[in-house]
Amino acid sequence: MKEICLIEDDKIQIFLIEKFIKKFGYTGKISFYENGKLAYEEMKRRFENITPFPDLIFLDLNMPIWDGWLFLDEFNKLPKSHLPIIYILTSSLSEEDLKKAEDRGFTNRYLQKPLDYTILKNILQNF
Amino acid sequence: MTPEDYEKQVERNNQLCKKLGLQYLWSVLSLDSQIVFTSATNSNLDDKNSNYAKFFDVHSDPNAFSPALEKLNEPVFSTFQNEWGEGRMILVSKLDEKNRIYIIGASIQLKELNELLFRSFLLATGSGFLLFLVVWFLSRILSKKIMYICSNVSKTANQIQKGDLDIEMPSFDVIEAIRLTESLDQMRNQLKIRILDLETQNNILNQILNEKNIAEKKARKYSEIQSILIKISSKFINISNEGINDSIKLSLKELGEFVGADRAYIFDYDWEIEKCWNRYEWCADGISSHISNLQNVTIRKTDPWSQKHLNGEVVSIEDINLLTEREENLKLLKEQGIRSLISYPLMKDSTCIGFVGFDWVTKNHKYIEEDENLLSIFSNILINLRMRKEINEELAQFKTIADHSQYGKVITDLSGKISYVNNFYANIHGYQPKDLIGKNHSIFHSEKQMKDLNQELETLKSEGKFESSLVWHSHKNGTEFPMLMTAILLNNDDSKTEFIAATALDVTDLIQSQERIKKLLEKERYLNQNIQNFTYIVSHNLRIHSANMLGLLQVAKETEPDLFKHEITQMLLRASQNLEETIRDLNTVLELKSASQLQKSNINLYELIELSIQNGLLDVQKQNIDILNLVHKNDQVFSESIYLKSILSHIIGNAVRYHKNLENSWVKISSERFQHITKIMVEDNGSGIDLVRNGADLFKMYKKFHDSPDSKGLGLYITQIQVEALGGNIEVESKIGEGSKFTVTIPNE
Repeated sequence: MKEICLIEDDKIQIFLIEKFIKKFGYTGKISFYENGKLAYEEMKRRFENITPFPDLIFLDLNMPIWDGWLFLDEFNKLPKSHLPIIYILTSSLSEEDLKKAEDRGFTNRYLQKPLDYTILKNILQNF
Repeated sequence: MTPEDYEKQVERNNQLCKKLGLQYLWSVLSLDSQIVFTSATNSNLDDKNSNYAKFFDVHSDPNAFSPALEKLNEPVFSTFQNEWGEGRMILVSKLDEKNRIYIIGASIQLKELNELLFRSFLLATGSGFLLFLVVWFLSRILSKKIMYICSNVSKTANQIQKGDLDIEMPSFDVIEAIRLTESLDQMRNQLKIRILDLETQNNILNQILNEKNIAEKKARKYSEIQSILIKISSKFINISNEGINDSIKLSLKELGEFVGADRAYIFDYDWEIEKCWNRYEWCADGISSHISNLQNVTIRKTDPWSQKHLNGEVVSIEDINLLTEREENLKLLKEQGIRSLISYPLMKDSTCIGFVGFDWVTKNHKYIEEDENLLSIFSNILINLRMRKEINEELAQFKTIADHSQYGKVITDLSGKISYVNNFYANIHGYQPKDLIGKNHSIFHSEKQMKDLNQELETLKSEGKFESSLVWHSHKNGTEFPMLMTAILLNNDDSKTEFIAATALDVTDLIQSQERIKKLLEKERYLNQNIQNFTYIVSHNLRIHSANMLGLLQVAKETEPDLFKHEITQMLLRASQNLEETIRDLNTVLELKSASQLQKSNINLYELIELSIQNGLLDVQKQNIDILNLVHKNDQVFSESIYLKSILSHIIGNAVRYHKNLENSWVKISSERFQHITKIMVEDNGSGIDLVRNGADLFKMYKKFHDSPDSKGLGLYITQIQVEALGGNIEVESKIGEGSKFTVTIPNE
């Protein structure tokens, strides 16, 4: 069973994405984490229990406690058998954020909120 | 002969001797190997001593007459020196009838004559001529006297012969008298010889006197030279710069008059351009001045005259007509009427920089060494003067500069005693320089300040300097202020005494400005932080709400389509979209970077334009418009891609947005590369802009030129700022109803 993971602190965004995903007939699992730290701890636990990672992650950047960048840094340190596809989904207009994302290879996986309906459709179709 | 007659005869003979200046006249008879007097005159000495030769007195020294005894009838001369003095004696011997030898003698004292002559000698040192006269006169008298003697002697001889004395008196015959005369002649000749000797001696004496006179004259001249030189050189000791010219002129006059010249002058040479200038001139009364003609006069290094001067040698011309010089030079000298001249080079460090000289116009002048010596010494004085003048001028310049510098300058000895302080340094402490000379520099510092300064002074003494140290000072009125000080320890070359030279900058303003700058920087940092925070709020916090609103409306559109039948929901969507766009613009403005922050790289222009077209069309619905990218596929530009993309996206977006909805609407994008710049043109056949009305405001913030509902007016403002950040510019050509052409020019480097 497929799993889509949302690392997001904004309730409205969670509502919107969940709504969209379901609209496209996705029936798999959807997991949510309010900040980077909670998500990382879960991923670490999964690694230790040899439980599979999510298949697709939508990662917000601007979150309390651990932001998206810190999550990425720590998560990348974990040995992984299969890589989840991670999309940055942010409301940030900051060029600095964009550049950081590009530096980490997210050039084509840097999405602006609100998530465009057609873009999400494409992602899910290829997923 | 009676005894009375005998006495009378003796007395007569005495008188005769006195008249003639003879000492004695006597006769003796050789009897039994003894000489006995038969008659004798009395001399002064006899009178004085009462010791007269008496009749038949035996002569004490029989040998005294031996020469006469050997030669009968011939006069014998002899010289004597005894208790009767020094003199010459003449003796004549003869045999009488009884074969007895009679000797008749006469003597003359030379002592008196010698004394007289000796006195004449002494007198001769005063006047040789007088001596000559005396000697001549004497010789005349003597020769007369001797003639007189001769005639008298012969008379006496005759008288004696006539007498009939039993005991014979000396008797003379004529032949004897003649003999005596001849003897006296010889005596006279000897005297003449002696006089000649004296004359010779006198001549020698005269010569000596002459030489002594010349020597004295020379000595006098030397002392005059010395005094004129002392006069001249003392004139130049401690002379002020202003007084130098007058003193040089006066010295020329004095020297000229001293050597009897008609002109005296000083010239400067410039061998680089082969010219000379007459700087000073003195002319004797009635002698023409030529200084005005003798400026910028051409000379040649190769001229004989120049050669001598260049070698430091004197040029002396006794007769100008005998001179072999270049025609021009000769002409120049003759024009001044010069007959003789002497000129001495001015040598500065073995370089000839000019000369000093004398002219003679009214007469020819023979070279004399004194003239050259005078000129040589004078030239040395002039050179020293010139060097001193240069040094003085340099010093004066430095002093003026130091006096009026806009920084402090102070010189003290090691104890801190001030020997020099400039206006700035004195004034900044509330003093005048003259008040401070001789004071200690501690006058500028409080006790506490001195403590700090003493540390710097320790450094100065150990390392020879301290540099750019902040030293606190106290004004006369007690206020404290900082100065940036640099000090060095210096040696006086001559005395080896050390002194301190310090420079001080007033840094009150500097420190105040530093404080101000610091405050401004803090303020700037604070504002910057605020802007950063604000930017973050806009780009994240504000933006998330706008994004959420749009997201919710989008979902609502899908799930609750009925809601969008209400116009109010439509307006809410548009308001949300406008809010979103405004937030984006605001973010762009906040994030605008300066040119120095941009990172430029080589960009493929064709591909960039393709991306820009995509972006430009994101917000607009593409209608029936041809968008033509006419840029060559390999064209490159060196720029910053995000800005350039943003600029082109905006212009292309506008071109599409404000089309005319016609069949053949188009937007053409082209480029042209020049040496230093690249031009990118975006041309359309859309509705155009009224540049006459709006040209000046076109790129200003929030100006709208179209009535289109989407337009917010921030776009062109941002575009222009971005173009400027790239170091370029943007121009627009447009005609209402016909279209617009935007030209973006960016540098290639």
